[in-house]
Amino acid sequence: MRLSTSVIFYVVQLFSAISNRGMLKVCVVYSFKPSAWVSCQKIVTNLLKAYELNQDQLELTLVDFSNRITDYDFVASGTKLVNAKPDVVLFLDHQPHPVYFLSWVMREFREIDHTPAFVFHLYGDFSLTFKEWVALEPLIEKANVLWYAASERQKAMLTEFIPEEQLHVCPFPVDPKEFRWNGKRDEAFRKEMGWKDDETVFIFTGRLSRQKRIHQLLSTFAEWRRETQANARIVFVGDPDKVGEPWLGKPEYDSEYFHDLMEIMDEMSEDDRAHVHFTGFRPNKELPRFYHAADCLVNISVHNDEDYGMTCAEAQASGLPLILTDWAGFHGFQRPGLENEVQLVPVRIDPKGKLINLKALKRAFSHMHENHKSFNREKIARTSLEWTSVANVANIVSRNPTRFKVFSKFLPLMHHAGHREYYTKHNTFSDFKKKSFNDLYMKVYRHYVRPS
Amino acid sequence: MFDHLKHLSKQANFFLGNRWNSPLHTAAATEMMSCLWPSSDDFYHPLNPMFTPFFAETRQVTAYDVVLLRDGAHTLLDFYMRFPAPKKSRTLFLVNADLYFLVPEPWRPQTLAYRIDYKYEAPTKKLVFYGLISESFMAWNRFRHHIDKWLKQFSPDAEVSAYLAIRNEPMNHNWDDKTLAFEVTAGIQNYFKNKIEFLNFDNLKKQGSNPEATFVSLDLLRTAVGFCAMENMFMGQAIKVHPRGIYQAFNGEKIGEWPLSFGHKMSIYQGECPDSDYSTFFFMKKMNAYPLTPKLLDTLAARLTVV
Repeated sequence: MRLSTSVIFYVVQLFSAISNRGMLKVCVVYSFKPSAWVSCQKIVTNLLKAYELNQDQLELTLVDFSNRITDYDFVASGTKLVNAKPDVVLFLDHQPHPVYFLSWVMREFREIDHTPAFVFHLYGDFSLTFKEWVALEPLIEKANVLWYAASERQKAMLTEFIPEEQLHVCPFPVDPKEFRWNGKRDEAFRKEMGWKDDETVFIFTGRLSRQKRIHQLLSTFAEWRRETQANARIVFVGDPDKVGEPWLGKPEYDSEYFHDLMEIMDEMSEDDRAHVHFTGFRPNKELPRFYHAADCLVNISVHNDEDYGMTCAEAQASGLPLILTDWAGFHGFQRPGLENEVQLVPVRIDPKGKLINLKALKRAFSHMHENHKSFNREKIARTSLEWTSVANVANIVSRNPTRFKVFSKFLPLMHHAGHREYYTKHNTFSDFKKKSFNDLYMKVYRHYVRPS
Repeated sequence: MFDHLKHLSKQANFFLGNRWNSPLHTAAATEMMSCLWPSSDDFYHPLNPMFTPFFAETRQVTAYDVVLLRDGAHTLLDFYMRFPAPKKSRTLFLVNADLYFLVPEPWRPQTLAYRIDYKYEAPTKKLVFYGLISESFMAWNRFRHHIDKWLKQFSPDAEVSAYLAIRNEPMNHNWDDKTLAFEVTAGIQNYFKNKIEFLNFDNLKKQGSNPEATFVSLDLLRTAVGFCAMENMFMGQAIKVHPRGIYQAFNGEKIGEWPLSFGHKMSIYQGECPDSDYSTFFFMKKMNAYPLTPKLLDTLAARLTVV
C-alpha cells in the first residue's frame, strides 16, 4: 500500500518528537465526573490504565471535559490542553461529544499554528450523534487521525461512515486484578445465595433491558428446563431500565419492563419460578464472586449499542463459558480455541425487529449444561485476557504513532445520517409510519449480524 | 377480590397523563403536576397510577376500570370535594392506606387501600433527603418542633445530601417572601456535623448507583403525593428507601401483595376504616378558601406517628 507523503512526514515528525524529547506528549481528554453507565465508567478507567502502562513513551496530561462543565472550567481545561502543545489529543470517553471541546480548542491551536494528531475511542452510542460527527469534520480536516472500534463487527459497521484505512480495533480492557480465574468455583458464595451444588447456574449481569431480551431469555430458559428436566437455574443480576425500543416506536416508562417480567413470572409454574433468581442491583465489586460461583454467563442482547459487551469480557476473564447472541461485539468473544466454550446464537435482522434463533438458544443451554464441568476455566480466562487485558490494550495503543492517517472527509453516508438525525429529531433509524426500522438501519446494522 | 384486581390490571388501559396530547390534560392539571414535579413524573404500573387533577368531569371518572391514585392529601381532598359520591362510576380506586380515612363513605365500597412495604434496613452512613419545599405541602409550623426528635434516628456523623425542590404554591398566590427552604435547610444542618451537599435532579438520579445511600423523604404527612415517582425510581434501583410517616387510623384486611421492584412490594388492603374524618375535613375545607390551609395541615400532622 502506498503511504501518502503527509503520512510519512507525520510519522517521521512523531518519531523525531519521541527521539528528541524521548517522549510523545499526549493530552487525554475525558469526563472526570463518572458516566451514568457503569460499564463506561470501567472502560474509561481501564483505558487510562492501559495508556499509563506506556508512560515510558508517553507524557500524559489529563484534561477534564464533562457534561455540564462550567464556562470557567471549560476554558481552564481548554487552555491547559492548548498550553501543553500536545503531539496527540486522545478522547477516551463516550460523552460529552468531542466537537463541543474541539470547536474552541482548534481555534486556539490555529493561532499558535499547531495541529496535533487525534485518537478517538468509539463507543456504541456513535450512531446517536451523527450531527456532532458531521460538525467535527472541518475541525479535524487535514489532521492525522486514528479511530478505534471496540470490536471487528463495530469496525465493519463504522466503515459505512469512516474511511476503512483509518479504523483499527482496540478492545475495551479488563483489569485482571479485578477479574481473573482464582482456580476454583466459589462454593461458599453458592451456598450463601441458595444455589445447589449439583445444579448448573446460568447467570446474566447488566441492565435488564427490553433490547437485551430478558423476557425471551426468561421464558426460553423455563421452556428448555421443562422439556429437558435439566437441573439448572438462571440468575439475573441487575436492574430493569426504561430504554425500550425507541426506533421501533416503543418507548418505555419507569417500571414498565419490570412489570412485564413479573407478568411472565406470574404465568410460570411454581417449579419454574423456583429456578429463577432476580438479585436486583449489585455493586460492581461483588461481580467477581458471582462469576466464580456461576457455571455459564448467558446474554442474548440485540441492543443497538452492543458494540462490545463489557460484562461478557469480565465474565470470560473470570473463566466463565459464554452463551451469546451472534450480534455485534459479542461475536468477538469466540476467540480461536474457545469454540466450545463460547456458543453463539444466530440472529436475523428484519425491518420489524431482530429475530433470535430460540431453538439454537435451547441447544446452547443443553450444550453448556452437559459440558461445563469439562471446560478448563483457567484456559478460558487466559485466552480471554490475552486479547482483552489492560496489558494487551497497552500494547495495541503503543502502536498508535504508526497508524495515523490524514483525515479529509467522512464518507457520504455520515452526512446523510446526520441530516436524517437532525430532521427526524434523533429517530434516525426509524420508519415511524410502519413502526419498523428504515433502510438506513438495515444498511448500517447488517454488519452486526453474520453475513448470510 | 385480589384476583378481580389482577384481572382488571390485565385489561386496563395504561393512562399516560403527562403526555401533551392526552384528552385529560387540562391547564389546571398541568399546573398541579408542575407544582409536584418530579414526584409527579409518570411511571408504569399495571394498576394504572394517576393523579385526580386529571379528572375534570364525571364522565372521566368512569372511564377506567382501575386507578391507583398517587395523590397526597391535598389533591385527594380536592377530588372528593368535587366528586363527593361515585354516581355512575364503577371504577375501582386504590388510595394510599395512610390517607384512607379521607375517603368519603359513598366511595368506600369501590376503594381499596395500598401501602408500600419499604425494604427497610437501618439508615446507612450516607443520607439523601429529598422533598418538595412548598408551604402547601409541608406542615412546617408543626414539623419544625418535631424535626430534632425525628432526626435522632439518624447518626449525626452521617454524610448528608439534599434535593430540595422549591415549587410554586398550587393555590396560595400571596407574594410574601418565602423562607421555608432556608428554615428546612437550617433544621437539617443544625443536627448533622457534616455540611449538606445540595443536589439537582440529575445528581439525585446518579445517587441511584450508590449502594451506601439511604433516601429519606421530607413529605412525612403525604400531603403532596401518596405514591411518589422518585420513590418508585429509587425502589426500582433497589436502593434503601426510608419509610415515611404512618397514620394510625387504618386497619384494613390485607388481600394481596404486588411487587414494585426486586426488593420492595405493595400490600393491598380491603376493609372499613373505623375512623371517618372526612366530614370534619370537608367542613374545614369549605370554611377555608384554599384546600389545605395551615390549620388543616396541622390537623393532619397531629395524626402522624413518626417512624
